[in-house]
Amino acid sequence: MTQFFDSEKTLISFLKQYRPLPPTVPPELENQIITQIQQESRKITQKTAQHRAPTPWRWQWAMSGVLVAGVFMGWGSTQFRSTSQIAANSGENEAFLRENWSEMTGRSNTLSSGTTKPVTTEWLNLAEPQAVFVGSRY
Amino acid sequence: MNLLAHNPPAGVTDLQLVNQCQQGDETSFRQLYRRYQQRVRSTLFQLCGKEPLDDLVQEVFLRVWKGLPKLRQASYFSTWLYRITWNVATDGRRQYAKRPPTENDDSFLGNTEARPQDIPDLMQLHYQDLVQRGLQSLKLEHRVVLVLHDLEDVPQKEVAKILELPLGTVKSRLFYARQAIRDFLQAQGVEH
Repeated sequence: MTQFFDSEKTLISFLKQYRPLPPTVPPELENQIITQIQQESRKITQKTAQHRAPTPWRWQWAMSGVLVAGVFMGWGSTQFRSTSQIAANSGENEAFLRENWSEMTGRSNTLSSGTTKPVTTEWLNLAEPQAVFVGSRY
Repeated sequence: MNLLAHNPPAGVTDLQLVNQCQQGDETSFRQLYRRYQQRVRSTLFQLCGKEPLDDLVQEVFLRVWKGLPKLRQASYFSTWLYRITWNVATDGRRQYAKRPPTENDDSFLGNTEARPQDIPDLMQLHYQDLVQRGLQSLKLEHRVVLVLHDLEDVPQKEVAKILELPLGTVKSRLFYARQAIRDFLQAQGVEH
């Protein structure tokens, strides 16, 4: 027994000789398979036809996409223009602001020196209101 | 390269049939089916048993039809076909494992159906049963190598391509598979 299976060839020939045999092929199996592949072919043909022929709803989507893109581009270009104008005027604005500021600061200096009283005087007035009131009658 | 085609119809090569199938010729596919179905069927039977056999054969040929347009090297058709068979077998086993058990569950990997022409004597039936049980006792990755190489006569290099394994792995699996089935048969008292 051991000698019999010592050789690989004898083992393989034994296995081949007594290999389990599959059950007989049902006669309808071939036609079933062919029917299935025919159905599959039809599906593929339909799919490819759908891919090739652009459907109306696809056109609608494409057109609406183009429209939306156009609107965005128009809006974007106007925004760009306005910001560039602001940028161009910014020099004038800056000069105007500087001039105004210097005018304002110059005026405030004259006011404080000529018409308004020094801060210390106001504090004195608040501290002694009666004396100010009496003084103001004269 | 055409490992499976032993009796091709005169004048039409596998390559021609595959090319015609790639152009959607169903008649050529029918010829391919007739040429290869017995080997596919036998391999699936050794790997998966009797019960899901017809469904699995159908699945193999359906996948072949779907995949044919993508097959670039038509000369490797048989290797490719065996690879699909192996994939279907493993998928089939996975699905079968998920299925709730039925009364016929033992037929998945066993129970050879004796055909009238296959009953010469009781000893032959006994040996067939032992070989089947011996194959069942192997791990699937060992069994597939043994089935393809020793029973289906697929060269080791082709087995390696089919299973996408290094040649060395195929050789070692074949060695262990033979050793295991030899041990099984001897333990069952097989004498010759």
